[in-house]
Amino acid sequence: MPPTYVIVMALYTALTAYILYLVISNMTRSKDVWEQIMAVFVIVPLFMRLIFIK
Amino acid sequence: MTPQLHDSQMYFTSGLALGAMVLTFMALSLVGRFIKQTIPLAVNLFICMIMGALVAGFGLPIRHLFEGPVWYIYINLVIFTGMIFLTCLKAAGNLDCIAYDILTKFRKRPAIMFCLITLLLFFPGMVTGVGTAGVLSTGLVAVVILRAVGVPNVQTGAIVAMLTTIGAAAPPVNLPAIIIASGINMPYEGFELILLVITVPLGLFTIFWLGYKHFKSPTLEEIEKVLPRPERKSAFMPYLPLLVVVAIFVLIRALPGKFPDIITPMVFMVGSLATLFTGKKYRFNEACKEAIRGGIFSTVALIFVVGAVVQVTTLTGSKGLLVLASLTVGAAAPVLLYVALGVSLPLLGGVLTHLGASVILGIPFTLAMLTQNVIAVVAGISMLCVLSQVIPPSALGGYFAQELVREKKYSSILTASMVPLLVCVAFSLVTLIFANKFAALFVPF
Repeated sequence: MPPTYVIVMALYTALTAYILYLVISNMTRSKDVWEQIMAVFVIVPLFMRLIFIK
Repeated sequence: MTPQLHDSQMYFTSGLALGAMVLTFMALSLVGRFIKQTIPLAVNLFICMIMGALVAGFGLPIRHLFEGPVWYIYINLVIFTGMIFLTCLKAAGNLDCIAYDILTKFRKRPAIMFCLITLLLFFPGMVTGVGTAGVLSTGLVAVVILRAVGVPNVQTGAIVAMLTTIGAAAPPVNLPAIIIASGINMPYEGFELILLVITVPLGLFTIFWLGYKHFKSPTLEEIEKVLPRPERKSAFMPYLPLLVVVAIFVLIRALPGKFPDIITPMVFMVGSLATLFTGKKYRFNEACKEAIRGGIFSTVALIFVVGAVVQVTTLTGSKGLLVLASLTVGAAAPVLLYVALGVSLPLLGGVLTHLGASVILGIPFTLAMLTQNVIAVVAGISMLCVLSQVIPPSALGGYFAQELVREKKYSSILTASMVPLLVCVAFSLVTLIFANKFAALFVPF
């Protein structure tokens, strides 16, 4: 059984991935160009977290 | 003697960067008017930071522009999941059941009913830190209840706007306080009690001031006309997701080490999943997508950009320059500092939103008041910042509330909110002036 913090971090990463999926899904459907630009501000940090850059 | 002193060069560079940021902001706002498009504040501020860094000689600081936002991932996940939880509660019909219960059980007890409406309107702001989350979720339910008990439309709009705004400052999540705390490298700890002491009396004063004299006890038939009896699995089921969330929070704190701390976003996701079994059937994935659209999404994008603002203003020295200006005002006459706080934070927030005001003025003002208890100071300043959610031109919470009650002009809602608004400003200033005394009573350290 892995330590609790590893499980919590894994869940946190999975949640980040799910939120990233929701944001990208909304962005591709949106017709508002400003919303698509703002999505970049949200996607980049979340993606950096997902691939453990930060 | 050198021809160019280091300090004058420093003031020149940081002043130039700050000037470039301000000019870019104004220019982009004008361009927005010219092309008849509202350029989102997040986009506007991001471009301002690029210009500031370019002018100060740092080139295009990609690393700084995206390193700053990383510190705000956790809080943004809390906002997203908090909103998902509220949307799921609404989609499952649990919120309707709660509103129906409040109306029918307490229709002859206005004091208890108003306290429960305050809690209902505070709750979304407490868990997400965003006032508009309250207007968009429980705001709708509160409007139905307030109309049923005879509160006029304008006052109903003012109550929703003001209470969701004050709720955004209530613990555990107070975004301006979090932004200011991270901006001065201070942990966001020990704020719970003092924020409750500031927000709860102000919230109760607002609802009683605006609504109590209009209260009329409705009959059961009148209630069923405005809010048909909602379907439910059992009397207890609509409250189950809320109880699950509260129970996990309590267990994490009551049994440290024994009960795993699954962190706040996961607690909200567990609560959201619980709604699948407590009410109407709905599509979970679609509800989640709906939850993170619109106002909440703009707020989250803005918070990420605030990270970039903190990073770039620190890099260019603009933040230090603003701190020096605040310190100079405070040293000249403390009363001027308090006047500047009470006037500039809500008014500037009306242009930059409460998050913009907290990062641009909140951090310098806090650093200028470091001789007092910092937790009490940050709590008071954060309260002044959140009030800007009802101040035009941005008035995020106010405009949403106006739309919700279908009032033609926002000015009528703002006029009705004026007394509670001034009381909130005055109480926040009292907290700041007597920060050490408040801290002795309500701050654990």
